[in-house]
Amino acid sequence: MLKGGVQLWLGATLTLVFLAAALLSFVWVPHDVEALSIADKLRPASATYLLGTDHFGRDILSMLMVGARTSIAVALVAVGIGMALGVPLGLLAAANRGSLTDEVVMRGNDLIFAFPSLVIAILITAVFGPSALNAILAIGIFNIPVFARVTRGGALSLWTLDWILAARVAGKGRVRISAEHILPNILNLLIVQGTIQFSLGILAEAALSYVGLGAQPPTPSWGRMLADAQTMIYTNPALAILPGLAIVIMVLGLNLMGDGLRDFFDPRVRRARG
Amino acid sequence: MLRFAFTRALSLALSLAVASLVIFAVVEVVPGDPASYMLGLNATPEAVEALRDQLGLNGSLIERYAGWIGGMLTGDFGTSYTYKVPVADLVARRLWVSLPLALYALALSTLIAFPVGLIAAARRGGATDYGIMGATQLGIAVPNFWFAMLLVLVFAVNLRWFSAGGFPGWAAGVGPAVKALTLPAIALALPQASILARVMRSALIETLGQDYIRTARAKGLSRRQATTRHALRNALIPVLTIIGLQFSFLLAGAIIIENVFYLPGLGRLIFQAITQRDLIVVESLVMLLVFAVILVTFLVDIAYAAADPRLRRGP
Amino acid sequence: MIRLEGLSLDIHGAPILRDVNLDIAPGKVTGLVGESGSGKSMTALAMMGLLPRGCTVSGHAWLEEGDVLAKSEREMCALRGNRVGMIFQEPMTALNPVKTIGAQVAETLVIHGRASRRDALNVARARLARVGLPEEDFPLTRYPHELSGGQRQRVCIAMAVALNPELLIADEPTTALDVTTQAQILDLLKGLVDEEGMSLLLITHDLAVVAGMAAHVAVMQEGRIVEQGPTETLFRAMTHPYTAALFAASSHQPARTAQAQPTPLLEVEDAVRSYRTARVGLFGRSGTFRAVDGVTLRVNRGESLGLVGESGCGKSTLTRAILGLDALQGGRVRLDGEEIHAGHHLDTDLRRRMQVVFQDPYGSFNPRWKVERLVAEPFHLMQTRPRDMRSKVAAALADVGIEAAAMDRYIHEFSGGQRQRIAIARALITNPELIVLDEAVSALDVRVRAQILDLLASLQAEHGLAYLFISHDLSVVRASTDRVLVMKAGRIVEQGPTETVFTAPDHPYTRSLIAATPRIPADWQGGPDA
Repeated sequence: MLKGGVQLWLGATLTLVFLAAALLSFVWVPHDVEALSIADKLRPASATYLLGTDHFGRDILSMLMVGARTSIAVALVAVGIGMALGVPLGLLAAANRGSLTDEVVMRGNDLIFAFPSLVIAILITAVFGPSALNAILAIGIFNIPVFARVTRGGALSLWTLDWILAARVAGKGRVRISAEHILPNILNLLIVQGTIQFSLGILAEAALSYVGLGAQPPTPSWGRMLADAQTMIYTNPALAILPGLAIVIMVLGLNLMGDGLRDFFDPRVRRARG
Repeated sequence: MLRFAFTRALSLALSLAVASLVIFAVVEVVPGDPASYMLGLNATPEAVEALRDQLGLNGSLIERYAGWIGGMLTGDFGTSYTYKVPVADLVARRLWVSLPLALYALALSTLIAFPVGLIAAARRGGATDYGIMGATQLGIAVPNFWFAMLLVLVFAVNLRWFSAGGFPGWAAGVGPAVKALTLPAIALALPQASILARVMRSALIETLGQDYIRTARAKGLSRRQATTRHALRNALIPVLTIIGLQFSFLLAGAIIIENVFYLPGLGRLIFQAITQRDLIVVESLVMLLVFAVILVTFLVDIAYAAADPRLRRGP
Repeated sequence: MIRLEGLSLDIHGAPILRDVNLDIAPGKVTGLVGESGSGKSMTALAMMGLLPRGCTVSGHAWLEEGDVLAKSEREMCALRGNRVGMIFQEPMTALNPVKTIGAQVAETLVIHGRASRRDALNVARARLARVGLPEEDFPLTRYPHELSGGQRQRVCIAMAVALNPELLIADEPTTALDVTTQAQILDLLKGLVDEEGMSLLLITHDLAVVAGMAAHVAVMQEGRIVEQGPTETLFRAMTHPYTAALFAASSHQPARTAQAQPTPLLEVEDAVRSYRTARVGLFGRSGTFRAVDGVTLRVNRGESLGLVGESGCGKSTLTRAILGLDALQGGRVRLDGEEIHAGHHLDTDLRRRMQVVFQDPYGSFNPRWKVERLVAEPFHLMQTRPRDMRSKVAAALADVGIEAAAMDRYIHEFSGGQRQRIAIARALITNPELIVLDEAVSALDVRVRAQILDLLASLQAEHGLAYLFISHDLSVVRASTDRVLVMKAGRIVEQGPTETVFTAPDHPYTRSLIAATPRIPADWQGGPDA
């Protein structure tokens, strides 16, 4: 979209700002989010409350910072689950292309794809109750076939190349080849997909929290803030607009970074840069 | 082609069967005793026993599973524990809100995304392309339910063009019903249209780089003729898969967005069932949703094979 | 007369063509030869007005209708496919996979408004028959993926000549095809020129093809035409050193000393490798396809054995079986008396005595590894890793003419010829007794190819290596082997000493292969020789 480098830097900056805010919230926030102060409720933006207060008198900026924690944690762990399980499965399937293992992995993928993460969340929360952990599981489980499919696709295109054949002639087995040759060469693909899934995870977490299936109060989350703000949207639109903006900017930052990374890794674009 | 459809249908049936096993396992096996889970900690043993009888939970696992599947195939989805009405009745009415909404959004998304993606690809590298890419980049980042809230704020509260929520029912006429679904559909469609436009653009750019486009130009086709007669049709093929995938996201999105507009669709039913621990409703609804997704995947596969002759094996 | 005058071309500022002057005789075949990167294809694209973005072009390209380079895009659209046609190198990707061949040929007519849809199909039928695809065997409703490479190229020709153009440009039309198919396509093109009075600009890197086809030839080097004239005169005289160098390289015979010993090193007995094929119909059974159907061969110590065959004959499958990469369904492979098993029994000591060099220098190496690690990879087969690995790698590189400093560089910094040298170094590192050369020189330019063949010959003499030389290029095999095997449809149909097989072939297939191979007439050997 923008000139390659600009995209990457802009995206990385935006992402880092939110990451920093989330980390900072562990040690300091402008105002304690657990202290309700009804007297200060629904104040507009001021020097004390930079973005105003909500219906319980809580500082919106502090809520956003702590909420960032929830979103990032959930999305990050979900990506971790997806990668930790999906990548090895994808490598396994590609290394044994056409065999029963491959079929099983592919069918398994298709099966999970039939359950959108919302549906998985519904299943899990119906039986175990809603929580941030269940949101992580729901999003994470859906990430597994995503990474498995991307890994398998990338790996398959490499297995037919001559230099893999040369490694086989050198006596290396499939596991070794997957680790030494295939994985390092699809790392770029995985990094880009990882940032995409991270941004999708943020959106998914917000949606789940919004309908009450994610992090439960008193843990603040952006989705929950939006649900609370919905009833007051006519009188205090800021309450609804601000958390949504936070989501948009964070996801935008991640997507820009992902696109920037993809261009950065693309050998054709690289050569043009010289 | 027939053979392809047949094998895909078999594969579909297999996926459905395994999915049903998974759902059954999670809902009926994992909580240990579904009846006591549903009644909660304060239930008397007699009440639990009565519920177990009522729900047919005293049979073996295989009997219960077979009973559930058999029931579904004959249209019996069980009776809701909270509402004491057949689940099928509860679902039928609400399905007619959620399903049209999802389809409405799918149609909007496709109608917007195709021309936008086409223009971006045709004017690649130019200002229009950058503009479109920027707009879609933004569109992808917007949570659909938040966008819905903004739409309500602008169009319902301030401009009063639409009502802020509610659904008059199809009996009141197609017009008012569609109008009530319009803002929700737009909210749902925005992020999906953005994704689809980008996919359309990259599919078209890739197709335009193929050798057969060069051959077409060498025959005397202009750039536009080569695009419309060769590239477009071929680019649509991978885009089809994405549309199919989008349907499952739209269905899930519809369920969430009903919350913003107070629509009496499947969303309200599911979330109430979760809070009230009505496992029967949850079990059947999840099965229904999964079935819808698998069915759409099957249809997309068939359409794919119809569009690309290389996929049809055999005479 | 079709003439290029002062054609110059830059792409993003880099000069590609410099002041190209070329005459194309009407109704005759004009050849344009040069190595890869010389600018031949760009010349063709300039004439068609199909240059990529970022090109600045100057000069003139005169057709009957005027200067092509001065025409608007709309005028060019009217010309392309109508007065000028073009066919390209890769027939497998040149056709739209979702449209029938009839529709694609008819499209040329419809686009230029020469026929209604229905009539266009009739004309298409006739044109397809003319190029050797009669309707009885190839209905118009066929799709491209149901045709072979040669057949697809015929469809492309039918599309390009549907409206009887003044000029047909053929850019390496047969490079991707088998030698027998090549001969047929070239005959077809020659026939079209003779019958329809069309001019043909034949672009190729193969001097022998040009010798057999073209009345006039132009030689191109780095964007300039260095020499042009009537073919025979030019070949006999060869005034320009570049032409002489090209000529010398294509008829180059590496200096070999035959040093084959009578003891067998590699023995293949009745090898069978079969695959299951897709089921036919809904409930039909799956068939089996025998890619290798009872092959017996023997490579003696120090010998250079050639294996020739066209694509699909089973050479690559056989190669993989010999290297122990795929299991055989029948028969066995023995190296120095011991049997080789594919799969998990790795017989590493046995394997290290047999190495391989592949065809594509650009796909033979992991792009992320440095050269040292790449060349040292076969050491994985040794029981104990040598402690002086680095110096061994340096020695192997020196053997193939690459300086030791290359060890710390990445593979993308090297040219195609250099990469093949590094590939040979990788094959030498474990001191093998047999090296399988799987089309190892097929992807190289003719001058680089000559150097690599020389290198291979000297290495053979120095290390006492045996070679299994697999190729579809008969002239290369003839110059580099002691004995040769001819393979067809999974079987060896003929074998014997190279010269004998080539001068007095026994099997009809061998005869057809040799007859189809283009060659430069022996008495044209004029000018300085290598």
